[in-house]
Amino acid sequence: MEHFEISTGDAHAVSLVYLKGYLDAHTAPEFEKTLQDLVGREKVSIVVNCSSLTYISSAGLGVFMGFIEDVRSRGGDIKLAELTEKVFRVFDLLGFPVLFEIFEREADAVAKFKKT
Amino acid sequence: MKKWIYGFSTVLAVFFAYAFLKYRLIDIPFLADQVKEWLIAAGLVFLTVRLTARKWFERVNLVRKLYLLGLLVLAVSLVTAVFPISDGLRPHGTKAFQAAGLAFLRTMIGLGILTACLFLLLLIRELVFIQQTRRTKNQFRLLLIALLLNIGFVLLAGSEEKIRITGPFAFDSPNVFLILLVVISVFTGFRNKWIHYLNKKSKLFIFFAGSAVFVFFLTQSSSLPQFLDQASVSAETAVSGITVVTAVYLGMALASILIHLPSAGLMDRKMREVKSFQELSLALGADLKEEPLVAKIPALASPMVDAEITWLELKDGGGFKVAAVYLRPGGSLDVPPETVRSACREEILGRKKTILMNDLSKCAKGISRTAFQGSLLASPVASQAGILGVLFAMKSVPFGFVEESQGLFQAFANQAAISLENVRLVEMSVKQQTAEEELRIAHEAQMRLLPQRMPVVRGFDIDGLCITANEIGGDFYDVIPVGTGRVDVVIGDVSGKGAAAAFYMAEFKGVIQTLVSHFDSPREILAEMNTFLRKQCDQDMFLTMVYAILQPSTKVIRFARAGHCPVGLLRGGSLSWLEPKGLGLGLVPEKLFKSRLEERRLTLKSGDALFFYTDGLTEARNPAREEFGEDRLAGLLAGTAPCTASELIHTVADRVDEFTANVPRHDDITMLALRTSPNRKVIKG
Repeated sequence: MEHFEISTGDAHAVSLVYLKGYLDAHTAPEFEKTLQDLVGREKVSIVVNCSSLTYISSAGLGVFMGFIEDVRSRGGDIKLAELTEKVFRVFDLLGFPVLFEIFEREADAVAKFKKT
Repeated sequence: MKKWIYGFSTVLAVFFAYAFLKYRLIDIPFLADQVKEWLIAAGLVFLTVRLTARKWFERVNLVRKLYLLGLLVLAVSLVTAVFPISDGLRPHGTKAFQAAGLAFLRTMIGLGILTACLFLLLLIRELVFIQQTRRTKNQFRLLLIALLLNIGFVLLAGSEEKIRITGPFAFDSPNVFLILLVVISVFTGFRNKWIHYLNKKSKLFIFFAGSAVFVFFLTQSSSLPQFLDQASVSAETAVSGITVVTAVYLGMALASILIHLPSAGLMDRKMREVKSFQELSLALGADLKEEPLVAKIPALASPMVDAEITWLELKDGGGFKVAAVYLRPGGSLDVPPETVRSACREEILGRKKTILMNDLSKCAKGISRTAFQGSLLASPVASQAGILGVLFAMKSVPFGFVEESQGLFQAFANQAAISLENVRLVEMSVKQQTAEEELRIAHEAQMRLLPQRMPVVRGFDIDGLCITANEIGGDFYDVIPVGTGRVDVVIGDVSGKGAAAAFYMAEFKGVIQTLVSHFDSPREILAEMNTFLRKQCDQDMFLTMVYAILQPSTKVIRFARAGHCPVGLLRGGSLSWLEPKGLGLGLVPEKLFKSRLEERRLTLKSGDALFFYTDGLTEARNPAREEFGEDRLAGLLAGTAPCTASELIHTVADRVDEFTANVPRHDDITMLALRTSPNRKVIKG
């Protein structure tokens, strides 16, 4: 199995999720659990930092899709930050930029939450 | 055997006839009688041979055979006793028979006894042959020959009971053959292995009843042959010979039984143990499921060590659980409480061998003195893989188990461990096979979604290929001729994997077929697909797709891309990626989806090719974990000389194969190529 790691952090009211390695069908459940946990604690202002994310499959993308509606209905959002070129391409092909706000720097993503 | 006896008899007869006639070397009285006797002897031999050839007692079990033997012996003895030869055959208290009738009666009884004797011989043969060695057959033949020689001697000796041998070394020879007969009978008497198959009760009964019959027989044995002394000397000698054999064999058998009586109980127990082991082996073969086997283990162990209660504890998560209990009928013991059992288990697992507690009330470890009495036997049930559980046996009296039980119990527990492991392995294997079978079925279903044959489109050359990965993927493509002159080309990829993906694809294929008849714009069709998908409950599932509608007559192709990989256009030796805007299907509501979906129009020129693919291709990895990538694909396509769609696809497939080397695929690789046939001059021949 490919390597995958998740770590979390806080920037005041905003939850930070750091994805590292491979996000595919095998590792997606872990990511799911993390988001589930955050939503359960009503922490719905989420920034996902993908700087160390090397690969994402449709299963991984599916996790985003699975939570976005719920998060938004609770007044929150999932924003993406620091995507690598390759990973961005995957998101772009699918048309994710229409759905998700994507930032080059994590700080910008966090800041966006404060503005809204 | 037959040839032996026939041959021998003939040789003997010829020899004596010759000797008598030519050399008068042997003094033989009563020539006519001799001939008659020799003929009778030959007849008896023939009869014996025929009788032994037929399997009279095949279906009779050992004990019945013994009873039959006993009855026969008893019968002949009774007859002899009831009709005493010495007293003119007159049973006690009856009047004397008439002289003529007497001779007849005597001969008749004699013939009856002769027949009985032949069957006695057959029965003894049965017993002897119960455990055959290579020598058994020959030894018995020797016995029969000795019987025959005995008859021969008596015939030659006549009334003197000796044979006078004249010539240089003259002497009177006694009946050596009788001695030979006795000796061989003694050797035969050792062949009584059948005694071991009798249980203690049978041994006792047969010994006492048999001895009584035997003694009775011995008292009558001298009279037995005499019934035939006036009828035929051969027959009489045959009877006496058989009497000798019977007496020797029975005597030795009874002595042997007597010697084996003290150990009879032990033998019985050993037999029970062996039987238990046999049953366990059968159970191993019979049970393919764990539950019935587990229930049987204590039940089989119980009789082996004579326990009152037996139970099997199996490893369950971190601890042990009582899996099966067997209570001997009439027993009233209960499984001891967990404290007792865990204390015993700890000791067993620590020492890794069987323990025997002869007096539970004296055990200090964790057992209250007053609570328990009795003895406990426990063995680890373990294989090389590790501990599976513990087998316990208990009796309500102290010192209830013999020391030897430990070894036996352990051996049984080891067998049980192997059986249990085997059953578990079989169950796992079956589950795996079922899982593999399910995967295979889903895979087949997936394959059926793909076009079995490419439709022929005038002026175009289309081919597709799907190389599956080990898991079920969600790729699919289709080429659909619609009405006159319209051809729809689709390629799609369901997110996620597993059998579900294949089934979703089947559903979507059906939806497409319906939409095709109502819409003629790729944008409309994709919009409808998006709406359809939005209605599905699975929020995290989505679909990427490229939908193209080709008009072969005008060479115009319209297409739209819903989040899918870009379409390659190979024109004049260079490749460009066509990437009209569009989101994946099922992600956003209809209005947003439509507003972001771009439809493009393209007029194909002769020699143009369109290349559709799924991300399994660009994401294929080599051993260095590099991806094949869009750029490499572009370079490969551009670098390929003009060829048919099929050739193009296979070129790419081969290159990807080469690239990935032995790395197993984790996603399906799907390709579809559409080429405008180059203009050709039509040559009319």
